[in-house]
Amino acid sequence: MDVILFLEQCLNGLQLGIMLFLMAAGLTLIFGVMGLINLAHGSLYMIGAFACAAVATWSGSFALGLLASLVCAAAAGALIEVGVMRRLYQRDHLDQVLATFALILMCSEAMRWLFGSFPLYLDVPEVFYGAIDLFGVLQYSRYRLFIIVLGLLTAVGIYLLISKTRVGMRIRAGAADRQMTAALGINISLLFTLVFALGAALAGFAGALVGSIQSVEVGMGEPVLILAFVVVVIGGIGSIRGALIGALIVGMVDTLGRGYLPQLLQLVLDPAVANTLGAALASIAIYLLMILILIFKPQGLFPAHG
Amino acid sequence: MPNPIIEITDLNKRFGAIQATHDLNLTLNVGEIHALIGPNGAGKSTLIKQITGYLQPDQGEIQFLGQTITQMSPASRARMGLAQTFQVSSLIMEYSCLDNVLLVVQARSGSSFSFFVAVRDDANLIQQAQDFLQQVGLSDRQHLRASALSHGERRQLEIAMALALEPKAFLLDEPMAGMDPAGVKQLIESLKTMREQAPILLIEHDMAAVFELADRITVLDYGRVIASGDVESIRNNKQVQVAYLGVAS
Amino acid sequence: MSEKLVNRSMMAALILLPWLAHWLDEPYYVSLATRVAILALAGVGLNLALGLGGMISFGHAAFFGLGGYVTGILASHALNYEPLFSGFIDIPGTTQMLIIWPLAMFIAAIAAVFIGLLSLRTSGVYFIMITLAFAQMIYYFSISWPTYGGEDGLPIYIRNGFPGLNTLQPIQFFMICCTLLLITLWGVSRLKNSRFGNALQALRQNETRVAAIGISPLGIKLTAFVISATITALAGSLFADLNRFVSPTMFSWHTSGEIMIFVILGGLGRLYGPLAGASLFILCEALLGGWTEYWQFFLGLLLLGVVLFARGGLIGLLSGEPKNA
Repeated sequence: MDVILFLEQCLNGLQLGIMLFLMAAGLTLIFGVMGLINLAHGSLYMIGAFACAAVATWSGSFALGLLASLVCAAAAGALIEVGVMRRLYQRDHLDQVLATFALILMCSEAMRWLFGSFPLYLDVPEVFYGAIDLFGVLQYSRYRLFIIVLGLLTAVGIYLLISKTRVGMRIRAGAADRQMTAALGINISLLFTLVFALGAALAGFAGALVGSIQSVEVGMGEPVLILAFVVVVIGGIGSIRGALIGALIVGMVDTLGRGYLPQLLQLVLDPAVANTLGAALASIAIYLLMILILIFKPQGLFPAHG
Repeated sequence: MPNPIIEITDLNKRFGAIQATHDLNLTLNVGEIHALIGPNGAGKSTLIKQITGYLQPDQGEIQFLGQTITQMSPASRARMGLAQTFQVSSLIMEYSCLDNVLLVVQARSGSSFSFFVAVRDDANLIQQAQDFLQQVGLSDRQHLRASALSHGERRQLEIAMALALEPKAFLLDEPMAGMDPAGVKQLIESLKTMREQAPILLIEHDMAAVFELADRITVLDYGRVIASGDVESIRNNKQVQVAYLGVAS
Repeated sequence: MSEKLVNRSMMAALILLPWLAHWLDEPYYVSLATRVAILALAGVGLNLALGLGGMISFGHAAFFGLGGYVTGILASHALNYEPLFSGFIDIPGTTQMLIIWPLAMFIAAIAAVFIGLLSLRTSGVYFIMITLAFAQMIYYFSISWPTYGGEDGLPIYIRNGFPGLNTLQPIQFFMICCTLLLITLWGVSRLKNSRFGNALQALRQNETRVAAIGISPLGIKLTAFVISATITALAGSLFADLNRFVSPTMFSWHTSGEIMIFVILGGLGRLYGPLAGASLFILCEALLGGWTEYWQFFLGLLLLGVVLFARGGLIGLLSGEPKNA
């Protein structure tokens, strides 16, 4: 096996994992604190990507675009929370699923109306063009490395925010016991808006970062959302630590599976069959992993509640 | 009929640092009302949940009708004839009183895997359900939804559902909680007739009711049995008075 | 208007309007009505799990798509004269609806047992996410498995046949779909009032209580989930024949969401709810879709409005009985 290619695949897996963590962190926080299942999280990812593309094109500054993705997604998140979600906290999960599904339809159509059906392409600054030499063994895309570093910094930032600050303490208290938090006189509705906007900002940020690798288009958030669901199911709903570990596992398994499953199968099967079967299996590898984990740990790897 | 009906041997259950059930032994004999008392947090509800199957003990064994049931699901235990009422009324809220009891009669009298025959056309089932409602005095409420019942009526409906199971043992978890004196009085009379059908394991805070009904009393504290015996011996037990009745020694 | 009257009017309209269209020689409207009947059937399937059993399956597209693909695969083998399996004996494909339907339902039932056993161990949000993930798994598999067209889908060159009928004629195919919908509605109405339905609806409201009287929740829920899946798979099979084409889109989570929308727009747990919902959906698509390209925005708005303010759905509004009994 080619070691350099393997290392590169691992870095790609890490990059996917970190992006998934940014999505899953918001999902799991919103569920943990508000008890809300939010399908529209993928729309916030999409909004972030579009905001970044639009602002970066208009101003010529990628940094401004990234900032815009944070601001726009957070604003959209806050708006959605105040306008719709507040009415749903006391409702059952079915209502939450339906209302947030309705929001997806509305967000997607609104984006299509604003930006058209054709994908936008986001140019990254020249600094990130080409590859960088890593320790003399590996040429790796500068931009992907930048995403990994920025994503890791954000993950550390979330960790510090949640574990070390007053706001974070309140969020943790909210996730542990909603009634108690209210009884302590913490302004619950402000806290909820804040958590929702924070989750939205993370999703939008991820959308903007990934938007430069792939294209920015309507519906781009949905595949990522479902991957993030798998992450949350594997990690355990409501657990940030579970989201981080689940995201890295899913990122690695998906990337390495696509890279190596066809080759592995060639050891035992006819090459043509191995390639098609390998590709098909690789596309569902993370779901098979999820099934396996569910059989042994129905509440995920790090169950947060009960 | 095997005696004892329920036999619990060396039961242990721990939640983190708290030993909720500690080397507990307990029996329920034919024909008796066995009251289980103890201060809040003594482990009564945890014990009930282990008997009914909603919690798995860490160690120990529970026998029912001479058969070990420790590993069985709650539904299997109920099918064997273990009926319970819940501390907080647990009913099918959108169903009428009659339908709540009817469901029990259905569960007891055959399979629920019948897909085409309307269950409410079965006059025999309806008749049985109505009889049980009558026993607890809810006949005039039979078409009211459970959600529309008063607190006391809900407790009565719970009793009717326990009766409809025609069980071999009753587990009643604080049936008198929150009832007015008239309701308590009526319920005491009901329990006296129920004991003729099957023995009752009764968890209750109303000491007057316990002293009137029980043949035996077991006192729990910190998950252990601190005293067990007939009404007189418990009434006079110094340890019990300190731990539970709040009498200074 | 009572709920019964609303139901009867809807049924009458569904049966009569296509004949009117047929008489006026407007086959487009006949096929529109056929879509309503088929999508309503898919909704009736989901409604059994969701409305009666309270199981929020966001993965019914899996069964809808399986029904479709079984139909497409059998037909393509038959039309290409390639056996499905060759071995001691060759098993050929078929273009007979009467063989395809039971097979489609059977395959879906097997999938539902498997998915149900894994996902019913959990509840609440987990159940939603897991059913979604399973459907998504099949979706990606169908895209990346090239044998039956992969991403491009699989055409069915000639609509499958039914003894004594010319299924290529729109009104005749419509009558097949409509009859199946009627039979299923009748069956589900029987089931709703049976011992099984009684236990299932009780489970939705209070699982602990139902277990405490000796009914095992898992068996009842799994059975309902499987029946629900087979009905949706039958709809998927008809849908494949209607379009003469199957593609991975049938497995996509938008399909799951749309089936759920039929159930909710019409009124959750109501027998004829999916028919009302599917009619409303197709009506929106036809009317709004002709007016604006972005009609799904308004569909979203409508759905949001129903969820937030009109829990009884369309039937609840029409019959003036907002709460479902």
